[in-house]
Amino acid sequence: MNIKLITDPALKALFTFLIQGSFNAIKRKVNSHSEETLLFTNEQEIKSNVIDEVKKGFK
Amino acid sequence: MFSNHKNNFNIYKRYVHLDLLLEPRRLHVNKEQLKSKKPLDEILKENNNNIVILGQPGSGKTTSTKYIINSILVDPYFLNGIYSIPIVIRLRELNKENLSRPNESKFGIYEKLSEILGIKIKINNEKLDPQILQESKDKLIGKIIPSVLENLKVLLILDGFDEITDFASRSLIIVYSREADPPILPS
Repeated sequence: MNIKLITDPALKALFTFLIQGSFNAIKRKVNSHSEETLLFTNEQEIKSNVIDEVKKGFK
Repeated sequence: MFSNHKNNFNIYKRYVHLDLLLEPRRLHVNKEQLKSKKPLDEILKENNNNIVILGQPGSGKTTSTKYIINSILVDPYFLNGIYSIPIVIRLRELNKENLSRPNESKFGIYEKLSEILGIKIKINNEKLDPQILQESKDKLIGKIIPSVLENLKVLLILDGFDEITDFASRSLIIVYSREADPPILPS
């Protein structure tokens, strides 16, 4: 099987839709927890953390 | 695998499919059981439960998980597309973190995943006792992480279960593995 090496932009494109859905789910859970509960993470941060983590799986 | 990694390589050129015995060798009572072998991707496809990979050092456990990770990322039809994002937690690192905090509560898989994903939550309530606030936060994390794993279609791989020396950490991982949905793959 001839597979090209994966690049960061390819991974970003692959994960964007999933992370968007996931981030919305996190926001809903935080909002329904209490009015005083705040989320200090944005979608981009989660995306870049997920990509870093997937890449670490190869080390 | 990744174009910007040092010494990147195509795992398909190195990987040899291993036929895995479906039960640990020590549990075999007759020769027939030795014939029930399957490759890892087939086992994953047919199984909704957690799968534990056992084997001697160098037998190919980590390479097999790398093959699975690679295939999930490059082939949308691999394992019928059940998983999209493979995440590996190196349990030796979790073990190290827990050993360095003997008087604090132990890091479990949920806490580790929330740290990995960078989920930062604050509850602004100065009237509440800090311990109660922490418990409330932990409960919320306990609801968030399973939903994130499901939404992201994560295959969670826990690498190096045998390297955990701390009893409390080991118990936390076993409890989590029993509750986990989607399944995880400790090796």
